[in-house]
Amino acid sequence: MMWDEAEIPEGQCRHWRVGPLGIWIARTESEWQVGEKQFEDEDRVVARECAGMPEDVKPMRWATESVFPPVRLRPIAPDRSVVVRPDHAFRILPHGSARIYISIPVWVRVELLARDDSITLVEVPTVRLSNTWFGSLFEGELCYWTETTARRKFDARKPQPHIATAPMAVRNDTREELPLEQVCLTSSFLGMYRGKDRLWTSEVKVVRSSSIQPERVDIQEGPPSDAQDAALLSEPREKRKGGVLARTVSLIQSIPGAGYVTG
Amino acid sequence: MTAMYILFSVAAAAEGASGNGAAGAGWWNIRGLLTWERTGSVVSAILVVVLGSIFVKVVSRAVGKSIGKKWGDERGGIARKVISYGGWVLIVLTTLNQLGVEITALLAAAGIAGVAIGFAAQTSLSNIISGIFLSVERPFKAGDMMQVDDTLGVVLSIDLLSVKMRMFDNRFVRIPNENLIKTKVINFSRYPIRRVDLMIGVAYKEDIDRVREVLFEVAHAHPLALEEPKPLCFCWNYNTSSIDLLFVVWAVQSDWLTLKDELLRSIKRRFDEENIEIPFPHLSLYAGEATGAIPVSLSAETISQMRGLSRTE
Repeated sequence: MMWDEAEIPEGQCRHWRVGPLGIWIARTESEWQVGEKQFEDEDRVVARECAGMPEDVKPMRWATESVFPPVRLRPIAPDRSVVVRPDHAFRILPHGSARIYISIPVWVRVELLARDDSITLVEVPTVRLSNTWFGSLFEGELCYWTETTARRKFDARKPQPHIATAPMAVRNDTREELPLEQVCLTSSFLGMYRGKDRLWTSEVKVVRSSSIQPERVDIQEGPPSDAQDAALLSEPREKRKGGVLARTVSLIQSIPGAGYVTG
Repeated sequence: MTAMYILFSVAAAAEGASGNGAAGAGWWNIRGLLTWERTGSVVSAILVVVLGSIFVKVVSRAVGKSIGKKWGDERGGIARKVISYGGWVLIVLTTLNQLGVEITALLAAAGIAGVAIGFAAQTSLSNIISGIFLSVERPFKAGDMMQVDDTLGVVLSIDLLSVKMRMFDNRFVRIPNENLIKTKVINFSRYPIRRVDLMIGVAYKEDIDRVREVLFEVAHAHPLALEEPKPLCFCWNYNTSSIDLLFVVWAVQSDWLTLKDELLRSIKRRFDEENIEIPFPHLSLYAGEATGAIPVSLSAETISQMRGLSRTE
């Protein structure tokens, strides 16, 4: 339904709602038009034909010469890493491990299904996330910050259409406790899966072997162990063989000099 | 004088090389260098020039590229130039040697010439040495936004003699390297994030805690304002007409100006909605008693006088 492909006849328009994001795709004699709008309510799921785009939506336009393949929407991971906080900060004991479930708002990719390959028209976030900085004042990574939290237990309540659950297993191989106050999810390596009632991302395994070095992050192939029968909806933005070294877990600590004022 | 000295030295060297060494053969014997007997030397000299120039070009490019990849394009460029100039000096010396010119005399002449040129080109040499220091120290790189004294702009290139900048109104500036070593340089692009500092005055009657809440809400609602490092708000000063709050919010370098502009507009909008007063400077007059107002009365006569005044104006 939501993620299935759709044929749009000439002069027709189709409307989707993925939680707070509304998308309209219209076809004229020689062009595609795509419009998007953010709404307040977050739980709606719509995929239907419509009379046309609302007046307050300004469409993006693509010219084409009588080639009108089917269109489809695909959920994809955000284009930058996402920083979340656990609902309750906790520590992982030395040589211990913990599993957490991170909820992230997905992006939606509008694709044309050409004969050989799909053509991406546009990618839109379902929720406009704030920026945040993960690192020090001298180096780090620009990330998105989301209000959603990381939970120790899987939240099986009614799923939201625009939220994907990312399972993450964190192992602490050091001799010190590992405080988990905020987590940076490297989302560009995550595939997106459709489970029974919700979206899942690839499973992430994080191993901390040293308190100085970055953690080793491995993205598991295939659906996560919590949803073995989930079907792949979209490939990761970046494919990488083997693990990567990245700062994933950090303390919320005051950055020296961040609040100092001169003059 | 120096040029003359070099000329005579070359002549003397050529004279020595021609083998006859006869006094009076002098300068014109340099022609002897190009006789058929010396064809072999000339050919090998030409070969030295051709092959040497190719070799210098290839090596300087390769080394420049390798250094540029490892330590940045500016250092790569300087290394390329140094290798290229050094290589050409060697080629010229080797070629002269092939032609039978005595290098020792030439080098002695060049040494004296070097001292003379050094005095004449003191400023240029100072700039070159400063340029080498800048390339080693690397306080900035091409593309950085920086301020040198009153000049604010983007660095276009760092060369041996000077740094070229584009100011934001699209004026071109050339700053000698020597000046950059001596003066204070502020590099705005060195670190990836930058702080927006806003001094906001509110009326004395306002609830400061509520004002702080509103300010944090404005920052939190703005997508370009970073969540970490957290925005901070300090009660900064009891001013003549306002309580001043210093509100600091972090942004990535490229968003700094946009965020500053949009925060100031959003704060004004929110303050208007929340009826928080941003006061303008005002003066309270007291009539000597603590709370009594200055009694003012207007008689009919005064009013007519004021009207008469306004008509004449």
